Amino acid sequence: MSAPGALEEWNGSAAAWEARVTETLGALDLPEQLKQATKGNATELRIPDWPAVPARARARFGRREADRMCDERAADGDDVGRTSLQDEYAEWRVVRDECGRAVRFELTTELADYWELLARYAPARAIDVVGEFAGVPVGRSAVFGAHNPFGATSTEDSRANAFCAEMLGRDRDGNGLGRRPGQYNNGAKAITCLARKDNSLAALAKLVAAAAAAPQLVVDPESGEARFPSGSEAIPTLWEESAKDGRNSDPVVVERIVRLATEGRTIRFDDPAGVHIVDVQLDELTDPGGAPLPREWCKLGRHGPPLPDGLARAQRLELEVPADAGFRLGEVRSRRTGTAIVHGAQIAELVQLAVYVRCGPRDAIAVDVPLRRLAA
Amino acid sequence: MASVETAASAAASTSEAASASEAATLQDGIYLQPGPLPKELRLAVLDFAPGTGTVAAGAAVGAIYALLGELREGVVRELAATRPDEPDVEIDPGTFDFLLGYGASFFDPERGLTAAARPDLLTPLAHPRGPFASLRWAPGVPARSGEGDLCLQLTGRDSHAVGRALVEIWKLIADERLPLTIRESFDGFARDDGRSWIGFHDGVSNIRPSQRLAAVRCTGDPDWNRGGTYLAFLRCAVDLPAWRELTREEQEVLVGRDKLSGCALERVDTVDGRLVPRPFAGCPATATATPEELDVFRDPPETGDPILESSHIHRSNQNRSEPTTAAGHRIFRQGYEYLEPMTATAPGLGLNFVSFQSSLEHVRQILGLSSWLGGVNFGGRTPGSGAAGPEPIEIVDLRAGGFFVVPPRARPFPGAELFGTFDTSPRHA
Repeated sequence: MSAPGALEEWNGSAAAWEARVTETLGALDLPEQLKQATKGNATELRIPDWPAVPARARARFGRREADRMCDERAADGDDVGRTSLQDEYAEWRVVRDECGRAVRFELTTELADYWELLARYAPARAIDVVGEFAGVPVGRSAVFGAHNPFGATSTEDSRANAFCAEMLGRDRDGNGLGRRPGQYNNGAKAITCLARKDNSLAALAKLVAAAAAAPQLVVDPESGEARFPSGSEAIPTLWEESAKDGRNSDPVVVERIVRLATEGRTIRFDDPAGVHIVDVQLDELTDPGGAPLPREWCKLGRHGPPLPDGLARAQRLELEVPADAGFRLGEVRSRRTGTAIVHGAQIAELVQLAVYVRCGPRDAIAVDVPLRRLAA
Repeated sequence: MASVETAASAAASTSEAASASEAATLQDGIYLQPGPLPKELRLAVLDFAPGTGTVAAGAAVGAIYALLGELREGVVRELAATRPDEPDVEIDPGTFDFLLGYGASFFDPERGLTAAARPDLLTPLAHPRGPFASLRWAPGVPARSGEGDLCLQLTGRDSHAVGRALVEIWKLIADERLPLTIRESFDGFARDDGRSWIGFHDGVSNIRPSQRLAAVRCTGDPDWNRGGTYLAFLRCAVDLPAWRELTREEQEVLVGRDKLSGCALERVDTVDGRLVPRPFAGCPATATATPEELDVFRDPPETGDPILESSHIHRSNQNRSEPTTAAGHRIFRQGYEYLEPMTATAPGLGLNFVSFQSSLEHVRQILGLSSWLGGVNFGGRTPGSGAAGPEPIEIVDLRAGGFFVVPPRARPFPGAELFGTFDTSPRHA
């Protein structure tokens, strides 16, 4: 298995990532569809994809208010909008000028689990990359807090612990430490990786495993016909806290995985497991005069060399108008809304994410498929 | 009140009754029930005269709505008795349905027609770069073709029914000097063979009836459209000569179906360098199969075959999700073909693509995402992607198009509250 994005940032990254994914899945009561899946018997590609903009927030608060709230920062600079609302396996920050106008947009889908491994095994590289994100070199404290990752007493575990405390505000088991992520992952100076617990490898693995463990058909309440359930119909039958209805991501992943499981297919994450950016509708953005933005203004990063399958594996997007362009990001217009870019959600809605899944042929596994009658 | 036959279907079960109750907030002219569409479409776009105030604008819409209501009950104002002892002349009632929508320009603050804010995604399509990534304006299309302050969708059992309704509106505007102009209208007809001009089945894998309401009904944002919907109208011209240059096999791979049976393809084989379509095993032959038997094979399951994923039917619905799944981007299509008067050149023909959806975001996503229909004009592999699939073909361009918000039923007419001058309670007629 490769590292997310097919990155190769240290020797042994692929093995470390494979071990982490295996460990994460191993903590779950995996159904046969996942247990029996191998690279040899699960080869067909499936691509559940979804927009990066939080659907739950927009449904609850309305589009304009939700978009504003997603960017909201507390008086102390804490990115409360991100931590409370950005729940689509994508988190972003908007860098603003002194007048509050947007000048730069950064979005990441990098799983914190990978970054913990990077901090554990390649601390110097982790510090360098955070410096690249921040636009200026940073010291070790940016990533490790008070811990010296190069000290004689530093261990792999202590570096991982320090990274989690500083960059995620929690311990390695996900328990809160009564503090928020540091300024190189709370958007104040940079955004490094996904910080929310429900945007994690553990959440993604549980989502897929829970859906695979719930093969089923439902009886349509109006037509009386048996059919596959929708995401919303299936989610209440899954393991507790494995999926959130109303998200863009969870229902579409659940719906498609339940369908594969019901068909008796083996199912596995594609190699590498991760959440990848598969599309950016840059055509939907124009300069103040209506001309398209040059594609080079939108940088897709955090991916390695293309793999033979040719699939998109970027995990980071940065959009900024060059200083000599004569205008700033806040003057870029969204064709979709006919308005200038004020909030990051206006860009996030143009970013499409996916988790790549591989499956085997139908009926590879004997499945007992319950037929569930939906309440009218 | 009678309505066109396909719109009316009594709800029998409790669940159907509940759905019917929710559906009742939608205006007529959205055919969620199974069955064929009314035969004829005429979609008109209207603009208010410059300087029209909100009161006059609301009164004009109210007058038109009242006229259409009377007409649907069989009353033609011009045929009312004017001499002693002669009866009114009435026409057949229920020969057409009408639906009222509001376009982006209606909400332009400088127009002063309403104080309501424009729904965020209700934007004009008239952009010089074309409205969508791979679906562009045909050369010479006038600015704002298909857009207007208002749209009226008229659907009925024959061309006379919908044509008469529009002409009666024209008379009313002239007689009452209403501050409105019928700027354009577009006609179309439903085909009872379920096929489009390119010879393939179209609309056969539309959303199942029980799921349509979820795809269509707006749940708020803006609040005044809760229980309403959004209409997308795209008059798509088809380059039939270019399409006919392809072999049947090439066409089938691009569409993703068998041309005769309509069965979805299970895979595409490569034989001697050619892509050879393979419909699902067991797909019944056309001559012996019932429509119900064929239906089973027409809704294609998801696929991992990149060639099939590049086909039109998969690109328009890549996740193959139910309508309640937001990322499925499901829309309810209600298209009508059109044929322009024949000339010495190739026929001008195509599809009046009409769709209803809970949010215009879904149309934007379907026509914007590169692995959906944003990457190609109709079907085939995305250029420059390195993906497998046939060469894409450009056969569709736009002759007109517009987005409209379609508020729920209300008295005295849908959207009356936008004018701020009408008592809208009870809310729903």
